[in-house]
Amino acid sequence: MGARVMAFDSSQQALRAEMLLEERDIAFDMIPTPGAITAGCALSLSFSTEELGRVMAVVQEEHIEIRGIFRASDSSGEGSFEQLV
Amino acid sequence: MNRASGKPVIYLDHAATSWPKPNSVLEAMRHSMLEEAANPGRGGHRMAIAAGRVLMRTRMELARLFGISNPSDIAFMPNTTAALNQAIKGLLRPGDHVIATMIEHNSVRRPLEYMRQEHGVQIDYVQVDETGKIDLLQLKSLCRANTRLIVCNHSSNLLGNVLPLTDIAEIARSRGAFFLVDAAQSAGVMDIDVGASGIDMLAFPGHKGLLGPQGTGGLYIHPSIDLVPLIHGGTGSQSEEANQPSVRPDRYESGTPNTVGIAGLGAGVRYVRSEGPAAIGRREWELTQSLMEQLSSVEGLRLLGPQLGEPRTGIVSFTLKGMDSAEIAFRLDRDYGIAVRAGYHCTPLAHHSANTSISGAVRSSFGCTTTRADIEALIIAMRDIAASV
Ligand SMILES: Cc1ncc(COP(=O)(O)O)c(C=O)c1O
Repeated sequence: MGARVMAFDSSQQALRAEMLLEERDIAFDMIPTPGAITAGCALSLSFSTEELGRVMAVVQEEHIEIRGIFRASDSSGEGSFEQLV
Repeated sequence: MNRASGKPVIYLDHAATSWPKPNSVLEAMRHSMLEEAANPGRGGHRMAIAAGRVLMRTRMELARLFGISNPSDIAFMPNTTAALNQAIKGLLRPGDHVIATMIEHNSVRRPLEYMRQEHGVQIDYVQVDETGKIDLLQLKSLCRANTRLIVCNHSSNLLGNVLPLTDIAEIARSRGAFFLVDAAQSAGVMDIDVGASGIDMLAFPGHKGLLGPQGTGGLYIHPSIDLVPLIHGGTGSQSEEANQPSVRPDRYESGTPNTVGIAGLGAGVRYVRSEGPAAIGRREWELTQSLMEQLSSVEGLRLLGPQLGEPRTGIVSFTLKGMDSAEIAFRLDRDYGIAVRAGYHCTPLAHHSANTSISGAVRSSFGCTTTRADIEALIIAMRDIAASV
């Protein structure tokens, strides 16, 4: 789904983000963290570009600790990632 | 009915651990064990993720119960003792001064005494009166420039009295000290709001008033406090790093957690929240009042703790002239099927304050399954036993 990938350093932080996004009806997928992103947690959440603002609001309001939010630099999604947040 | 002995048991030892647990707790544990007890955070497969969600859901329930805005500020611990050790040993440095009270449990006193002997920490214990009431003026006067921590229980496990947390928190705040509360006897039976009460760290059991299984408990740590973790190791996160991660709750939760127990704890907390801690506590208080009224007329029996009508948790301790407390507890168990605790209850200083250092005391303690009939049985038994002295 996602043009954006949110990665974490803790699976509990990832699962909390999952629950909060679900509660707010924000569409996302749980995906394995892409190898090009070094993060502590194997789980990441991906979502569409349009949801970025709402996702960021949840992260800030709820003090979720994230490694970062990333965008794939090439369209295949397998190459390098650019950190947005 | 206790299946181990095949006899009905009147269980009045809830202050040690609650029993029986609600069916929903057993069901949650059964479900967890059967369906999703993989290792949370040690793998990305669906079962491991499901196990991780169990931990997060229980954390969220606990956060709502205690008015904690971020569930990640709660670390699971195997019991209150582990939580208190983490808080005390993780915070204090050589030269720090701590104030505790004379009614602390050994799970506070011993880590403190260890820190005094091995790490040059200084300690003062505030006096309490015979009923457990703390001397707030003395507490104020004991504060020094290097006072880093004030620690006390919310309710004494011997006397059942309730400490004025908000007043103590105010003193801690005005002197720049952190405030650690041992909620072993109050979690689940009194309303606790860490923000409103100014609590910086809250150590709580999962296996008493929160109705979870043994082997569960936790520590709330205010986001501004960084503790040195007591246990270092695998967290399933930041595995490439040599150092313990700083991210919560992983920082304080190394090693495989008690997933099945935490599933049960979650169900216990849901039960407590649906009834309301204050409502549960109120019912237990009413039971303490009828028990005290009846026991006060028993010849030679001395009740400990606050007077009738005063706040207390579901604990009534007493001594009987001419009989050792261990003997009374033994007879209550053998002849009447009543389970209570006798002796010093891991709180020798409280016995000193209550003048029961020699005799010890019998402690009866109630939970949300305790009935009037249970109390009646104890009253009848104690009349019998007193008549035989
Ligand atoms: C006041 C108090 N603090 C601490 C503890 C220790 O609790 P736990 O058995 O969960 O370690 C207890 C209970 O035994 C207690 O009553």
